[in-house]
Amino acid sequence: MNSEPTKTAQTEPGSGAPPRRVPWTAWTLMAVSILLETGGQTCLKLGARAVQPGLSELETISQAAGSLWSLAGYACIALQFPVWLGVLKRMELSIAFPLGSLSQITILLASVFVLREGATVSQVAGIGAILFGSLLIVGDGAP
Amino acid sequence: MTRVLPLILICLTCVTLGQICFRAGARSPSSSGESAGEDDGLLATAMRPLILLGVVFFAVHLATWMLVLNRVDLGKAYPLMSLDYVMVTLGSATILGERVQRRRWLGVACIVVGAVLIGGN
Repeated sequence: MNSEPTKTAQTEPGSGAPPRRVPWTAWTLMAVSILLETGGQTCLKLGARAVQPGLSELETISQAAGSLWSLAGYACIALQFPVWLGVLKRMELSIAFPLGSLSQITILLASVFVLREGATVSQVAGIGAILFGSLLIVGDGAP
Repeated sequence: MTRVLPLILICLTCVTLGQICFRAGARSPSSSGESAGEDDGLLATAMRPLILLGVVFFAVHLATWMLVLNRVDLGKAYPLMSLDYVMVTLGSATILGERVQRRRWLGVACIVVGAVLIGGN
């Protein structure tokens, strides 16, 4: 009957987003998670590199695990753990899953520019195929 | 690269089992009966039994992963961990008996092709 739009309690600016949208905290947490994953893996690699060659498996693990770089890597991973749980709470797995694969790209960049490992054509093509495959796995079946 | 493939298989198994624990634990509704989307504190979530079991799997994975990193480039070893998705899909199809869409099998095939491109060298 009343043609005038009823004024609701919506006083916050920019609150017109539909309630089902993924909250911005989820995107932020996802970005933080990818950065922590990249930093953590890079630190672990630096830690594993510091081990002297020719040791047994257990000696290699204990020496690599105790290096300062590895400790920094654990810190990143320990931080990433609650962050990723926070992502899973706020975001459907069908979105979080392929987005998490973006770490393939950031770790390739860290591998080339930080660790100076060098990249081959087949390696980059392989990462491309993996990213595409991750997208397909999520599929249309998700609600 | 072929030398570390058995180690990578151990990592993949631990990550797969760990992730299943994490996902099941993170999504289970809180004991207080609040809505599942409600944030009942990260510490409370982290102390759930399934999450703790996931941490154990993760520790074994980490020790094995240090061996892998000691022997091959991060840029080559890391993408191979995507085979995790393949294992989960195969597991849900065979063990759980879930129907897997053709599109997902195509995705699995792409990941396998990608892994062979990287690991085959």
